[in-house]
Amino acid sequence: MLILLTRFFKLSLSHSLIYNTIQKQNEEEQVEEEQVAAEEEPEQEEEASSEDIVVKTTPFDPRFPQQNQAKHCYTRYNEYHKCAAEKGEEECASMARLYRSICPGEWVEKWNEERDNGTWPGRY
Amino acid sequence: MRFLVTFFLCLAPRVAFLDAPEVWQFGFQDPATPIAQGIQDFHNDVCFFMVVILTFVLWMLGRTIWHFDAIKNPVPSKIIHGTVLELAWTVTPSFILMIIAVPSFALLYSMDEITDPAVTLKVIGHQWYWTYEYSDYSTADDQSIIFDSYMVAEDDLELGQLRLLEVDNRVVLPVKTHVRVLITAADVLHSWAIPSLGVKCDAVPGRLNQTSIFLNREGVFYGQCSELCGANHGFMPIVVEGVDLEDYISWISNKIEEI
Ligand SMILES: [Cu+2]
Repeated sequence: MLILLTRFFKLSLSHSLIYNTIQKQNEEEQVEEEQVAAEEEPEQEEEASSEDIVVKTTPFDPRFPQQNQAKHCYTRYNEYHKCAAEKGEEECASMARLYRSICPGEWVEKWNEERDNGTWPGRY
Repeated sequence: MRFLVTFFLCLAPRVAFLDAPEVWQFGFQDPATPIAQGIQDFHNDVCFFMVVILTFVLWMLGRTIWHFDAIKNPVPSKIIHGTVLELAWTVTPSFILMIIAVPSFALLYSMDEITDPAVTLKVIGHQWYWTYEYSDYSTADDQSIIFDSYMVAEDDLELGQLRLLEVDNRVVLPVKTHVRVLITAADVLHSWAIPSLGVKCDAVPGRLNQTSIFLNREGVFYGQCSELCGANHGFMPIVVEGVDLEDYISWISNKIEEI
């Protein structure tokens, strides 16, 4: 029984360790990211041809904590088009990146086609 | 002193990690993500309980068979209804289950955790190949980095390449970076699985499954489609190349120029 108990404590310890490392790595990585962004700038001056690449993507959205992110993609797509209809496409370019990052190309293609055909069920 | 230093340097492990299946392999592949590490540790921990229980049950069984003997024990025991005993053998297993459940749930929820991702990789399963998309850097709907990843046929293999595992276009991902992977399919069910990364996620048409990867080290990681998807199900492998963040960026910029 004693062995079991010590084992149990070890178990919960090791798994909380995993959790902590994930968290720690996250912090480290954020620092790294900033560094990369800083490093990228001088490079950009050297090679005018290559676009400056900032390693960044659609952030986690607390509205969509599910494993299935289909609604996340769909909502971001609609939000962009709502924004574009209200403010103009150029002002909403950053929002377009948000849906592009997470929507499968085929889905966007299909939706764009529907929009062109006028068969899109949405408001925008 | 110098001798000692060189001596210990020679002893220092120079290992090649096992990131692909091996002939007659029995154990796991080497973990490359905290999740894979967690899965394997949990497996080992559960095996501890398994061995203890197996030993106990076998001992009980053996003892019972050994003592069931018409000559040595002509009068069998006639004990029925032992409240304490019944309580013990009900409570103890449930206690063991609870002990296992705690780390199991910890692992389960840490697998679900999406820590603020820096890269999104989209994976689309097709009959019978994988398509990969990187759209974090695209400025228009048709500007994504999209490529198909087919298995290298046996006749085209070069020396040292792995049969049925090598692909023509590998996925490149940065190490020490939180990567979001979004997985879907275009025709039937597939499953995107890489043992050394601790990833196995179904690709379902119309669904966009999310998992995350955090590579601890560089390497070439091999996986296979893991949901029966038709005739060539066994011939749509997955290869992920974990590289330094800078190398990833230069790979991405090369890919962008190709568009
Ligand atoms: Cu498949």
